[in-house]
Amino acid sequence: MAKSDTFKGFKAFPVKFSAESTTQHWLYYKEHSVREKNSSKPTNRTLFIINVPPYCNKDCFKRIFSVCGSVTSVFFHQKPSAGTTPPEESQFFTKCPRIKGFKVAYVVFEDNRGLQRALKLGENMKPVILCTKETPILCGLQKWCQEYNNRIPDISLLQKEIDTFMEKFDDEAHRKALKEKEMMQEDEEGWITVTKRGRKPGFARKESVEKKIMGKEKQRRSKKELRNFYRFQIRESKMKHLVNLRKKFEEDKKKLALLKQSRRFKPF
Amino acid sequence: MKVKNNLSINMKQGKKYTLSEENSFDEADGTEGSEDIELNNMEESEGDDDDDDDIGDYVSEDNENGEDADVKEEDKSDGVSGMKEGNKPVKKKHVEDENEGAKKKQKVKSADTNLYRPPTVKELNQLRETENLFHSNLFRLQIGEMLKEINIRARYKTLFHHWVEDFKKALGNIADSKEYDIMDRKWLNKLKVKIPIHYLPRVTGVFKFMKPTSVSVVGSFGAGCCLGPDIKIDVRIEMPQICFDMKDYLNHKYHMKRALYLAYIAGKLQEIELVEEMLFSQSCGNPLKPVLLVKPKGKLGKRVLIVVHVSPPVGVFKLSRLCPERNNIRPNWYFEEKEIVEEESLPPTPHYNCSILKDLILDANEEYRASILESHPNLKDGILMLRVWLKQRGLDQGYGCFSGYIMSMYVLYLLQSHRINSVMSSYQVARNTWNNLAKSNWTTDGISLAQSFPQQSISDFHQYFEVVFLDVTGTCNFCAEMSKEVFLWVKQECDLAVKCLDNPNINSFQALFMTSMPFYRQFDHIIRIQDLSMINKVVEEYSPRMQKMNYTGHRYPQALRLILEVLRRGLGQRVKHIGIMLPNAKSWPLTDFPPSLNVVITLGLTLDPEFAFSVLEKGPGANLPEAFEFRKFWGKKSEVRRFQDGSISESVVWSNGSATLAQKRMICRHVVTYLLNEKFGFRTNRGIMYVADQLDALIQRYMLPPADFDYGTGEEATVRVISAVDSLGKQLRQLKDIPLEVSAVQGTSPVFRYCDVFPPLSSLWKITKQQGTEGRNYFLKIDGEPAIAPRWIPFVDAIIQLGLSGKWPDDLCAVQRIKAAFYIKIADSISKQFNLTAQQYPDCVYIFKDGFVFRLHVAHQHEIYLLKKTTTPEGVTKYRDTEESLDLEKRIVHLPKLTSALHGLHQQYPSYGPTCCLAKRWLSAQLLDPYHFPEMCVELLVASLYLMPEPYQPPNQPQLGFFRFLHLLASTNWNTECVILNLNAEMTREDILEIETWFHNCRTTLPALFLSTPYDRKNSIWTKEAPSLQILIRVALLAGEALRVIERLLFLPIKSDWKQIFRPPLEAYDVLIHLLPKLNSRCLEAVDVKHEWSNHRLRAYHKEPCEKIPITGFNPVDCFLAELRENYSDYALFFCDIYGGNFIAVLWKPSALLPKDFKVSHINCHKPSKDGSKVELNVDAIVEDFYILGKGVISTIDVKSGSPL
Repeated sequence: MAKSDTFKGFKAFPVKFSAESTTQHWLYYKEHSVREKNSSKPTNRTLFIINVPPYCNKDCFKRIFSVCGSVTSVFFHQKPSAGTTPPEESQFFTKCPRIKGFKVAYVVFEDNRGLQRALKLGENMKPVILCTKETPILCGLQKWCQEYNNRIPDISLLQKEIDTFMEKFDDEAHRKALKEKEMMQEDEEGWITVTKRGRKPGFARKESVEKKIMGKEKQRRSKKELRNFYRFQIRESKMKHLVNLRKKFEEDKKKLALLKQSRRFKPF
Repeated sequence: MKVKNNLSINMKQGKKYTLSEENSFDEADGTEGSEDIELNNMEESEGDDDDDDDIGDYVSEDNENGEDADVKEEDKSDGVSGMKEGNKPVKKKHVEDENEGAKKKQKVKSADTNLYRPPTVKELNQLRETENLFHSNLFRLQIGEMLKEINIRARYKTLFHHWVEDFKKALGNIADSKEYDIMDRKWLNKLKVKIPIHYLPRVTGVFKFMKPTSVSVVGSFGAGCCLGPDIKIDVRIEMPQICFDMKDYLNHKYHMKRALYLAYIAGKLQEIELVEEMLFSQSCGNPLKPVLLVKPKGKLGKRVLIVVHVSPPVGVFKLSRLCPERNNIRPNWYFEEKEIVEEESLPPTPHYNCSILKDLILDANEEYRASILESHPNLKDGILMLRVWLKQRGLDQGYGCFSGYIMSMYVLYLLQSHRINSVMSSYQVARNTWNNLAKSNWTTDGISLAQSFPQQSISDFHQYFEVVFLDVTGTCNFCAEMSKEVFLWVKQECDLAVKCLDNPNINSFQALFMTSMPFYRQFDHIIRIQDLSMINKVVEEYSPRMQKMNYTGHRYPQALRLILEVLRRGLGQRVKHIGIMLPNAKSWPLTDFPPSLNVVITLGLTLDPEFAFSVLEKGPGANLPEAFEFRKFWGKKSEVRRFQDGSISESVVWSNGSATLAQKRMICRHVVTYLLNEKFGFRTNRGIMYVADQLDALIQRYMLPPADFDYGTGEEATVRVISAVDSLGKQLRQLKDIPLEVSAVQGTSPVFRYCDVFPPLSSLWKITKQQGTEGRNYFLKIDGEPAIAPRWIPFVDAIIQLGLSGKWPDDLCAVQRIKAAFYIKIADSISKQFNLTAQQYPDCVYIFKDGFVFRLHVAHQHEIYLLKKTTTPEGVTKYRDTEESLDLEKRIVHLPKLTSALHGLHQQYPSYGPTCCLAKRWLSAQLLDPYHFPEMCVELLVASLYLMPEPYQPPNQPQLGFFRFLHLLASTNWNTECVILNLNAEMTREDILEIETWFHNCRTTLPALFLSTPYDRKNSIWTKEAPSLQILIRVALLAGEALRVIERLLFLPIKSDWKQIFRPPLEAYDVLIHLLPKLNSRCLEAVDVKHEWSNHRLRAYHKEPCEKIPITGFNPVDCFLAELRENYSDYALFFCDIYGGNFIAVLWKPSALLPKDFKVSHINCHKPSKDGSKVELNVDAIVEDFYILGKGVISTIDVKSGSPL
């Protein structure tokens, strides 16, 4: 496997968990280049790495790649993505789902040289150690204990956060209401925007409401129609009835066939 | 399109009239051209249809028992559907037509006086309801299919006829023998045959073999109602008259001669080529009546077994000599006594007489049956159905069985008494037979086939026999050997069968005919008396002299009679009925002596839940004369007690008032063992196996049981949790300073459905060294890396419904914050107001009450809609299910509803909860934890055993429920069958049918196991993610194996290891990760836990100041398992017993092991392959990752040799 260091442009380099580890995972990396530009992942300074083991964290990646040049930031994603995840607003309420299992990483260097050096990193094929004293990776029992403890929130902080959020939310709602009210005023040309509020609200733009309206329309139209008026209509309706019966019979037959097929009738 | 407006209908009476246009049909030729549709086959119009394409043949017959049948036949070959329905509920019926049966389509409707009324619009509408009829249609077709399966193929018939001709010739060639003394055995030795009857002493006389006078085929094969595909054909060999003396019926001479004759024939047949193998057996398990089983040579022998009976010629003895009141075994002969008693005062020997009579009356009855069946061929299929039904229930084999012969004779009896008529369909025959049998009682009002037979003499028979059904001659009782219990059992099954047919919610055909019901899946309790020497002793000591003579050494019926008499009285109302496992007829080689006369007695009890669990048996008032009788029966157990109503009565007390439910379920056992010991001196520890609570050990808590009450099987602990949540709910409703009042609190954990295998226990929890306290919130946390995992304390989930308010924001994030604010408020005020410890979290609140930790969530229904809401680019709001919304809906809508429904189910059937626990325990022990087989799915499957128990009755013993659960898993084809639980009968028949149709139409897109409840109808929300098809297949295998083990265990000595079905096979797994038991919080729950600390008990809870919430819901093993699944579930499956399992088994997914091309989306966890062209799974690195992820809890990892590493 040694030489073939390119897989569709990706280079492979081995990592292992600690110095004592006997096995290694293979990271595959290349220069990050996509059509969608994102300022936080600049094209010529970003390294794109896939097959990152679940226990890797930002600190250990920063340490590993700092040998190539100073690293400004590291991003982890579940799947390759050009953008970045929005920062979590709250320490208690998470918005983005947690990354599960193996992940992809983007390492952004301060300049292009770092990236270039990093691209040559795997050439000597010496496994890189992930967990060292400087950047320990917490795992196993210790990690679970810590997670259990971390779940216990600081109540005063939580209360404070809720209060500020709700204040902001109320403000926003208030502002929105004001804006709507404004819109309901006649503008220069004499137009009034119809909103949900006010004395004459427009209908809610919901799927169910639209369906209801369409249904009513159809009903109204069908009411105008005369049914069973002409002889041919009577015949047709009887025919329809007949077809229904026939269909049902066919269905029954099918059911039976299914039964016969699936159920053997051997009692013993 | 061809349109016919008028159709003439030719009435049977010859009247002709034309239907008005309203009722006529348009007849359409579809594109196929061949399809003609008739719509004018109106219900009430009866007659032949003159149309060219359709021939409608209507037959109307009135039924004796009021079930009027109207039968119509139509030609089905041209694809015409004529569905009709009566204005009365349609009965499922079926008409047999021997010749055209397959082609004809028949329908039945109810008819009455206005049969010939012209059809109305309403009836036309009813035509559309074909679905109702479909059930009957389906039933008819299923019967047809089944009969086809059990038919004997014509090839075998012809083969047999040839064979029997040769056989007759061979018999004719046997030369007459010399005269031997009847006790002479030398000539038998020469023939290399042992006499197939037990040693009967002191029989005098001579035996001489003479050529049989006739050989004939009798029995069901002769009558044409034989159960295939493997058949037994009865062949009767008639002994010539000269073989018998006048008084041979006395003192066993007849039986001896019969046996010798049979032995002689068997000896001679050994040389004949026609025979492949021969065995001796007993006719109906009667040791006095040996028969010869002959396996024919060649192809015939594959399916056919010939049963050779020897019988005397008709009229060799006077039938009156063999009346039940006569004595034919002289006591002075039998007991070797000197004194001679007058014949009139001799005790009667009805059973002995009957054993001779049965041979004598055979011909008369055979003739009668043959003549009737010939003139009424429609009965045959009905009889066949009834025989299949009997056989599935195990009622038609063994000594004292309700044989197929009795059943067919009963059908003839019904015909004779005009309760069945000649035009009835097989379905009607069966239904009417069940109906009548369910209503009859042969134990008090026997019946007789003999015409003009005086009722008086039937009552005479009742003196000597428990069940009476007399033959055509009126002298012989078909049911002579049958005990009352067997008849009552059959009767009850009949009742169930009729109910089953009338139940529209189930597939009655499957339940009645296709489900085999082994003994151990029918009865709540099973008693096996295995100690044969004890049975011997019982008979010797307790059986009256008369019975010993009557049964002439056959101890089984005597012992059974004695034991049943005692149990019947002792168990009384506690049991609905006692079943007897009829001993199988034994067969043995010609060169062996007949097997022992002693048979193990196996009884089954079906409990009556109303009375079975009461600890007290109240007898008559102490001053009444009956009290003496009561005292005498119960012996030292009987005591005089004063009751609350002031009465003073004799009574028997089986347990103290604080008995657990598990103990109460076993009261019958106390009764049985006490009585057997008291009355017959049975030693309880040996010789009697009582199968009922063997598996209870798996749901008991051996380690650290609670100190303040008996744990039993957990129901008592569950009740404590439920009452704790009730009082917590009360307190929460009283909270003052929260913005919205709490309107309701409902538990959603399995414990509230009585389905938690190990319900939480309240106790005082000590703070250990590794646990520290945190902040003012009275909280425990884990310090550092513990060496021992904290003890497992689960939290109890409940949801809080708040009062209605219009002020909830319309935004998801805001709702979350407001809920969190509620949690903070609730925790604060409950600790202030009620001094309870509570801890807030952003998404829930923990409250510590009565020693339990409750985890409460606020349910806000609108949140579901907020999660579903999406907006299209046009600005239209749509509601679409998302993962989160479904999850929330499950938790706050479905779970509470199901919890209350299943809680109700447990109240109705108190064995439901423990059955669920056993089922869950077993699945988990087989390493299938809720990830593979969700808990709710198990609970609902078990619920189906109670809601649709047919063909059984709902179980009263958890173990029985568990056996049936295993059978359900092992035998159901989930691909074609769905489980529809009509909880609280909330769905109508139409709803169920709709779901069924939906299931069949959309099968491919639905989950592997489709489970529908009234709350989720077509969504099957509980089985969406799991179990997968692979898991279902695996479960079916495991369950089948477990059942086989159980069947074996039932017949093993008493101390057998029942836990073995809870030990998983490990061969299939690739990697085993062994864990440190110390770090398994639940290690004390393991199946094979060591009983080291069994003396320790949990300390009882009492409220202390400054309580702290213990470490809750934390088990390192669970954390590890969750992490493994999160990271590696794409490449491997992980299996673990969550109840204390000390290892995790890993199975690589075969698809993940294949080398793949390099692709960014599929590169995770792969390494470059050797040649570098592809990538392959980095298996060894994964195994090392297991070590890394499970740091601190792993002891070793075993990688199976041969696995890909």
